[in-house]
Amino acid sequence: MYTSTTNRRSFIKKMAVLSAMTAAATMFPGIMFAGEQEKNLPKGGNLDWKKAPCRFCGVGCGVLVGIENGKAVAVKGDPKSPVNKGLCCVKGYHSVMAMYGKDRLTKPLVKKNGKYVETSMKEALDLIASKMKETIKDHGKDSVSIYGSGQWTIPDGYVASKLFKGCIGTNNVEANARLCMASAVTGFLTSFGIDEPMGCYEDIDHADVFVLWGNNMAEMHPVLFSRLLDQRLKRGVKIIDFATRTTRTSMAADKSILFLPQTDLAVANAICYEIIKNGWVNKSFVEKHCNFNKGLTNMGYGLEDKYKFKDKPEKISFQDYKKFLEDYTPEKVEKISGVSAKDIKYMAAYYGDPNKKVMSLWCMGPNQHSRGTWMNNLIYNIHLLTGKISTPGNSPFSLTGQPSACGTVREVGTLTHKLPHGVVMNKEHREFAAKIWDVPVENIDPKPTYHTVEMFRALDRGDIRFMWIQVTNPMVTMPKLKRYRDAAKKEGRFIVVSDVYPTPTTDIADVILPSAMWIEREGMYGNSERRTQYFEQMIQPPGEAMSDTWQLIEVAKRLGYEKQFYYNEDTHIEEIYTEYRKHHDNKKHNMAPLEVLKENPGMQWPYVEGKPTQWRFNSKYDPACSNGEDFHFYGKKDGKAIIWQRPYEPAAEEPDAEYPYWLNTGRVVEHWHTGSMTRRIPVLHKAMPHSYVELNPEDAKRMQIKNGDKVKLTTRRGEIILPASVNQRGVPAPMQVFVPFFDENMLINDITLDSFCPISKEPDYKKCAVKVEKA
Amino acid sequence: MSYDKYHVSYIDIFINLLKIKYHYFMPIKSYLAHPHDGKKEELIQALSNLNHCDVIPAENKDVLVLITETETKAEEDILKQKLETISSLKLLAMVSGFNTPKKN
Ligand code: SF4
Repeated sequence: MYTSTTNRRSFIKKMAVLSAMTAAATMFPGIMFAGEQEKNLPKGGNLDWKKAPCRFCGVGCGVLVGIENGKAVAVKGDPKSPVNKGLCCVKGYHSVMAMYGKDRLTKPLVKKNGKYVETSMKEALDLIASKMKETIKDHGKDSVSIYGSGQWTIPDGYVASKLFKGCIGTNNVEANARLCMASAVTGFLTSFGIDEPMGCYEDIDHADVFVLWGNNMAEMHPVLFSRLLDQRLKRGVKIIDFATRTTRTSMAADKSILFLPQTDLAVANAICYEIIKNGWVNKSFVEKHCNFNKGLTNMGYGLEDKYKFKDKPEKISFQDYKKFLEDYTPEKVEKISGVSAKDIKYMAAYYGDPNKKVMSLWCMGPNQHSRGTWMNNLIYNIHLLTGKISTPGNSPFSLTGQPSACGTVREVGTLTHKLPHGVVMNKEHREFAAKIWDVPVENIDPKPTYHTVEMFRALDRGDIRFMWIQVTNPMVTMPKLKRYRDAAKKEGRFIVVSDVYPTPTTDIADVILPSAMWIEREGMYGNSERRTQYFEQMIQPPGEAMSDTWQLIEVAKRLGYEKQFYYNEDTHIEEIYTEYRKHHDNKKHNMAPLEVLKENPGMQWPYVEGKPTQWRFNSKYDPACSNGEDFHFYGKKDGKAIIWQRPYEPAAEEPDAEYPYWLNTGRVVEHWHTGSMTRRIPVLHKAMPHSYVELNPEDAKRMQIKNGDKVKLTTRRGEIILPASVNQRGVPAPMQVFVPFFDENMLINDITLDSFCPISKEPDYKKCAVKVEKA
Repeated sequence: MSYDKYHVSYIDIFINLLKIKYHYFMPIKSYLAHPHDGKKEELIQALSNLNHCDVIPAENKDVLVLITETETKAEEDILKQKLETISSLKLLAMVSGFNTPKKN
């Protein structure tokens, strides 16, 4: 493509502005450059600013979108939003451009004789419905499935669950949040019996110390991270980055501590050991509000098809737990983890100091972990032992990646075992859902079917024959990808993909449906801090593009479920949300009414008597507490949280003589996950045009690899060639490499491993063994 | 395997993180300009009066983004000298430097 020097120059000037603004935003959280934003806007138009949650990450910043003549032309941070207070990151500022890529899907496409042929929406939806009927008739109801996303709006996920679980009667409903948040969910359920963080972002304004557990917040949650930096400028708080690789976050932190992959398990136990040894346990809190449990160990890694695991919790005493921790003295753990005993004691001392409020933050590091549930439990253990929980500034806070991983996947319950309220295995929960859904209770199968990895394995085996994929790109994100790509292409499989752009996943589709994106339709997202945010339809979708919600409703009606899918096209979002709220009509989870969401920059649940709940389980703030004590962990029957005995166990595949390095994968600030949207935003694409492999400088020197040289990575699954990145953005520890996954032309997941946490079934994208050579 | 980072300035970090090296001419640079207390408006005025400068003041904080665009290295040096004489300017911190091909 020809680019004139003038254009190039103006682009570079914009980059210079952007760089300066990004730096300013990091130094001055909440900073606004409205003058600059308005300078770029068309003059004299009727610009109308409307509020929405950002399309991209789970921080859930409030944005104002400038609409002119039916087109979204500008974005600015919403100063009224308590999440971001007017600030946005580079993705947020450019989010509207993601809707205007040249190759936007605007017409349904059906594969005929190996070629995609344009068709009408009506015909495409007819075909999908008839294929579903035929597949159910020939192979049974459990041969059809839907695979959605934490980018689904709440109504999308709700109608998907109602159609598949309530009407068709299969639990073949999964979402990509299984790949990023499932360990957080099982962590919450096992420790507290109820999902989602007890605290909120306002904890940041109260905490004295922040411990980031394997969480590159500067790139993944940039707006929240700038709130941390702001607190450091104002109050001198401490930020400790505890990670396997040096990142932008490490560079901005007060202290960076590196640990060897997988050994965070041991370090967390060592912190608990120190807390007990030094008498820092909050005894009255622990006695009143905690139980001690242990579970099964040596669980395996889920590498084999049809792998099953069920934990067997067993009560233990505080003394048993104390004895167990003797294997985790800082000195012993130093040998396993590479973290000095001094640094372990340093972290423990902050957690143990009764005068310091501590916030732990984590996201993919502890979640995408072959012992992800355990890691979540262990961080809660630290906060429970010290009683530093559910009070402003004392907060174990599990962050989400996607804009509605909480809102849609966790709250609506679009996972195989879940219902909007409760789980399919529970008779009362099934009865409750069936009543609201207006279906016979027998329709809801009491047995969960497949979690995500197993669902794609079932597609490979032929147990699943039909899969509808919405708002997600599994042909870039599935671990050990080649197996699942080949599976999808097998004879006798029918794949429907709803998306906004062509992707490697639309490449495997039999039918491609063009979707309406974000503000081209109406909807809600729910962010990391239990905040539900509404957005209206602001512009028309292009061509025949249709919301995922309405696509599902159209197919549901064609399948004969008109009674359950009674919604009116003009008012269906409101009708669906009102129906959905009935599932959570209780003090522990009540959702704010739609009018409240419309008037406010989102509202946190539980929303009780006209008020959001900022700190759950604390009777001062949470009206659901009913035990007459200061704290009530009401997710568990006896009102007590659980401190879990969880050991250190190695990863599924560790480096050896043949594959001597660790391979870690992850994200970059410029791109939203697989880049299918952000790579169509020129400024972001040019800022980060392709993937790379980060090497430790000493390793690179030894192998005579310079920045930009080609490097071959080989695992037991295959090989890939990438340009080297040495001493650039991130620096891995010796004998480790890091590769971002956003680039569909360099599919790192072709060589990753599909091991997963046996409890959460979330894959470990952070660890497998790899050979590294100069190509 | 640990190190402390108590004394690193954020600007140093961001210069390193955001610097993009193009082997051309025509420098374009971006800076954060910090005014002396109460001198933000004065600084905006002074910078706006200079050739080759674009100023974007933050609406709600005492900092300005300054973009300089010069034809040659010599021109850039002259501009730098002029910047140094502005009395309302407390600190000028470079964020990124880009050297681009000349305009046609
Ligand atoms: S931090 Fe996340 S939600 Fe906020 S603007 Fe950036 S991408 Fe959007």
